[in-house]
Amino acid sequence: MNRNEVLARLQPMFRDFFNDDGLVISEQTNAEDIPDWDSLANVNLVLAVERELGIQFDTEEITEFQNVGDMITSILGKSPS
Amino acid sequence: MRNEHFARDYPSLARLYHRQFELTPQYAKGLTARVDNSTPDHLAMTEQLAGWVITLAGENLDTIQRDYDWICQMVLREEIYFRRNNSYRLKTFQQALDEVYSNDEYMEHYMNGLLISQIWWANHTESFRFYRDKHLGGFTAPFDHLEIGPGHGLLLFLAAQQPHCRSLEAWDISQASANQTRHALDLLGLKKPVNLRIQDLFEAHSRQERYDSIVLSEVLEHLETPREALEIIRSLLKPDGRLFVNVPINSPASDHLFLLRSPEEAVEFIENCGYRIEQTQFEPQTGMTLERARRMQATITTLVIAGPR
Repeated sequence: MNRNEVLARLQPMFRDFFNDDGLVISEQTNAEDIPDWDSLANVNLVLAVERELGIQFDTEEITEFQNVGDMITSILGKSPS
Repeated sequence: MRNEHFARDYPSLARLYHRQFELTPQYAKGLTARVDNSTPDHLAMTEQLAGWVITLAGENLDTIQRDYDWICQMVLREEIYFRRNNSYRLKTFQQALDEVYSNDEYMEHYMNGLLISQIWWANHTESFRFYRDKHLGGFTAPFDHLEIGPGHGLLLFLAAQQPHCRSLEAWDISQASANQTRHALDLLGLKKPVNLRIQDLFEAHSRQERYDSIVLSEVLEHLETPREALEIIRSLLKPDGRLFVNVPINSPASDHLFLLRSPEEAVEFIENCGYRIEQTQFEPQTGMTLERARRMQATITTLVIAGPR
């Protein structure tokens, strides 16, 4: 997958997770852009992404994601488990 | 709400707020929402606590405010484990002793973080208000008061300020912790005598004293045998005595052992240990409604006032 393909996979997950059918994410989207994206939502979101893509993030990575682009970079660095 | 009078009306809170922004800007969004979404009554309680935190911190205020990041990161790491495994990471008191309580440097960060969390975590702040108004405010005659695990001493200090409070006692299993509580009460300027004992609750069966008021705040979740603790406390209460419990549900932390999954489960647990429930209040973690906290299985501070059945 390339970055755009990962972004396309993440898009419906974000809409489903934040219960917002009109949500459009980009690589720059971060917690400032989505009111319900707090630290707990971030953990749950990331774990939902793990389940969907069959990967596992490191704990330290999860705490350091600044935006969707960081998540995509990390996903591309992993093979499905 | 913050407005042009924020710094005038809440000077201690405003000082902590602006410095926290400078020290830990990554939490700006949450801190702003925390303050802007609070009622004047809640902010008044926060202001009182902020004044006490500044007094207790003295020269170490920056260190304590920096440890807000430490405690948030610790909770986040435990949260990831909790969500992946559907359980708290540690299972025994011995593990907590080995990993947390015996590590002085770790404990210093932890205690600092907990102190400043009383300001920034709305459920912590609100628990003070419930305790002051509903528990302490419920005593209309002289009462004898015991707190188990008094920590920073703030709840004890609030109790001491009640005109009906006749005697104050606190138990801790650690001499170092008891010394810290004593030092904190001295800094806060407490005038009433406090009997600070080194006493293990689980060895208190034979004590003859009985109390009108017992406080068990953020202790149950640290215990391997919480039922036994509540049963012993029941025997320490006078027949018309009242117990105040503060226990968080779904609240992963590096030394939490006893997992409760809903406020109702917490209340029922206390009831089943021989108590008649007098009053409850459920306070969701900062930034969440109670409904959303339930849906996301997030932390909810469960506050209970109960008497012996």
